[in-house]
Amino acid sequence: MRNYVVNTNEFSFWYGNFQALKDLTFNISAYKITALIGPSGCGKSTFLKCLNRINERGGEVSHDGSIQVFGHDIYHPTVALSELRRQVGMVFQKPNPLPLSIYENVIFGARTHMRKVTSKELDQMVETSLKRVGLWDDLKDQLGRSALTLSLEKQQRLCIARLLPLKPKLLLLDEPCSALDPAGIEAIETLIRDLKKDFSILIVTHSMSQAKRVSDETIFMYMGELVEMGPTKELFETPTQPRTAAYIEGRFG
Amino acid sequence: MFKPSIHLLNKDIREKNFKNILSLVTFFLFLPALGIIFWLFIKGYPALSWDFLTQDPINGMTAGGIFPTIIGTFWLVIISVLVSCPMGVLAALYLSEYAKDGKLTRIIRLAILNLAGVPSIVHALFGLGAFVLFMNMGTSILAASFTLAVMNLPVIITSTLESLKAVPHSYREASWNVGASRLQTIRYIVLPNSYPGILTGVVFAVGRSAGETAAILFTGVAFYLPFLPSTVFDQCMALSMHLFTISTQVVGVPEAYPFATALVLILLILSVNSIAVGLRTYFRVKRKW
Repeated sequence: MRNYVVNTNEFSFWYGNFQALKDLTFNISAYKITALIGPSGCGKSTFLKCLNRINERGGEVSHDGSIQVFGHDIYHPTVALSELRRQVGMVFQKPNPLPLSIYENVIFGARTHMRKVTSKELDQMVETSLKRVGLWDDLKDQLGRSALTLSLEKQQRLCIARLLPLKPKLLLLDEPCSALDPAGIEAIETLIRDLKKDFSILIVTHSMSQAKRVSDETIFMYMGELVEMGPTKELFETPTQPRTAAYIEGRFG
Repeated sequence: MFKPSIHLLNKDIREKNFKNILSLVTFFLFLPALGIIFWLFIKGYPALSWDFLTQDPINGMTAGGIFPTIIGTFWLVIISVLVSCPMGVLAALYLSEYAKDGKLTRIIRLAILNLAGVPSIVHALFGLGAFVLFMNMGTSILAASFTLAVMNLPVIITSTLESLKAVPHSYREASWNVGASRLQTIRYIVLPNSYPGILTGVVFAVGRSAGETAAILFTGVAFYLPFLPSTVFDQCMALSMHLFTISTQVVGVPEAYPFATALVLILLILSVNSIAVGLRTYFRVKRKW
């Protein structure tokens, strides 16, 4: 029996009258990197955002079917959104550090969740998290600096670091490299592969080469539907669906 | 090669003319502002003195000073801001951070816009009916201040909404995403990044209420009172009203008196507004980013 972090069962999702996701049923494995690929508008970002329910703001949304994360239905009425988001952390397409210092950015989440934390614990949190994403050596002497002055790659690292004190179990990365230059992409990809030891990771990407480089499993979506899912290598070498083949060969999308 | 054609030369001339017209119009907008203050200063200067600011009006308001009107204006402005500021800011926070974009919200927004367009004399009648008579406050500082507050609410709500809107949505998203509640997001992210703007809006509302005449006409301001107000249930005098009275209702006022009164009023409003600008600059510099 394999260990799954996400199980979806005939999950559909609507923005107003527009159906963005159609009857998705699949399982995502723990401690793996799963890539979601597909042309723009295929619902891959929407699906990602459903997993920590960050897309329920701004307009009417509705859903049908279920998503279980760690075996628990995330649409169950007793689910506390802040607790769900603590455990399912998201990194956005455009690095979005908060307009605070580097230090404050890292501990922001912890501050909002914990009542009493000593400053020593906070210092420790900052050091561990920044070390984990490879920023500590560069920034340890300038923790009071505004996070907005960092380079985009470092901002994105910081956005990942900011999730770590919350001890999330699942990381959602929504095209985390699309704003970065090639060196930044390589650095973040290396970091993502390294994070796999501790977290289950779901990454949405436009870049098929990125999916090939970093992921263990790949899900191909098209028009809100799941077309094909499988181990990355198999999916790219021997796709079973004609649409998958067409997409990965670059015939559309 | 690269020589301008006739067509291009014409285009250049039109471009230049257009720019000149724009700058001229801007200049003419600037003129009245300076002109008013200059004119008031020239005409009002003879009457200005320390006594003018600190003495009561005497001889049927044809001599003496304007002290009670300054005090009255302070009462009105401070109490109206104490009421309208928290209400306006909280309402704006609700509309911007909590309310879903539905039919009801749209109606509320529309109502606020329309409230801002209601003439102040209508506010005065509303104040008379609602506060003076129905709520039994009588003509008092309280009733007049509440009327001013109602008048200022849409201004404060609108300017606060603008400041809140200027905080990038990605900040909120980032904050929610680490599990912060709406309230925590407002407290740690939204407000710290918008309060210079909110404050500016509030201070401009202060300036507006200091100059307002019609709204306080029936609700709590008297032409003349021989004593200073001691509680909010007393009536008071006000600078704006006093200006109206001595320029149109009283015979035998020296010519310089209304001008000096207007000058004091305008300088008061200008200094309040410059406090707003100063505060905004201060907060901008203080933030390291």
